[in-house]
Amino acid sequence: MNKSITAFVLLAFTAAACQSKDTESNSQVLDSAEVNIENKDVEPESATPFSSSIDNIITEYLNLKNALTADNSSEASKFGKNIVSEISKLDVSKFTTEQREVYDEVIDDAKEQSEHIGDNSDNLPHQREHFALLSRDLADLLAVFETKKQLYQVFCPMYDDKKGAIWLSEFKEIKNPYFGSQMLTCGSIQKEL
Amino acid sequence: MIFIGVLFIIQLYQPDRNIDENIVTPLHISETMDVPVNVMKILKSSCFDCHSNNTNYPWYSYIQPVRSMMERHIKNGKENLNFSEFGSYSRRKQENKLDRIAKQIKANEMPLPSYLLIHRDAKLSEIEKAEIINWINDLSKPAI
Repeated sequence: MNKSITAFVLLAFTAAACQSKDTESNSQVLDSAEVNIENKDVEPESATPFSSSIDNIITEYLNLKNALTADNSSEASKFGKNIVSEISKLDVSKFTTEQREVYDEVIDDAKEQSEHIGDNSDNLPHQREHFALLSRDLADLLAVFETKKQLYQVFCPMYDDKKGAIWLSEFKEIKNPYFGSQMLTCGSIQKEL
Repeated sequence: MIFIGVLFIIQLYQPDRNIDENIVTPLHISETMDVPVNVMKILKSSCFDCHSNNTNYPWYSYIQPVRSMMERHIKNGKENLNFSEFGSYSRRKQENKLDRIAKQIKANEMPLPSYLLIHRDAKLSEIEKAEIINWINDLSKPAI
């Protein structure tokens, strides 16, 4: 009996401790919100990170692709995480209906593939599997979104048990991100975007 | 003595269980896709414990700290793939999930080895693996 009383007292203390921690972090959130509001007054509105352009996503994707080409798993992980953060900065309010449809269909998936690439900094084959799925998502996005960059869609027939996979590249020259140094020049340009 | 006390206290923490009382929503994979009976049986026995809203809890799941470890696995599992809410994924995401399932099963990455240590019956035989992989491959082939 004594034991269970002690148990309940201890439990009550723990619960109280948890609660006070919650309020603390809440007030911290409030503080930082205030700071943000103050900053907004100083900076012009154009400084907002949100954009309806997918250029930044493409830039990080190309970085990721080049890291995979160089067989560099930890760099690839870093750029995977960058893509996730760029996706969250998209301003969907300025999208056309057509853009919105494609966005709704692929963006969740693109984000998830990028997360997996970010989380697997020691597993190149795993990152490449997700890169193949991500590439397809971004190719579909590019069908309805403008980008300032000159891009090529390249096809590697060997990847994924010869089912093949595409990637997007800024180079006309073939540098294969699926096999890296193993088979650097495998692939052919399918189309210019 | 303190150790026994702590062990006793943590037993009091029993979070909500991942059980849906057999409520199958329209988002469940069994409602959104044509899943053959044999495949569904495998999914149920080897995947649903961590990848659905209905876990079949063993008796020792009532004991802490096993309980907390299990809940963490289930939370992670459902975040990555939840068969109970398969219909909420976009078509692209559904396709890619199936593609990932086939690849992970082929590579023996799923079911997780740590899960199989306890759930011997969840281990997939070569035949069962082939049944799932073939089902997924047939889905991705264009209809003739």
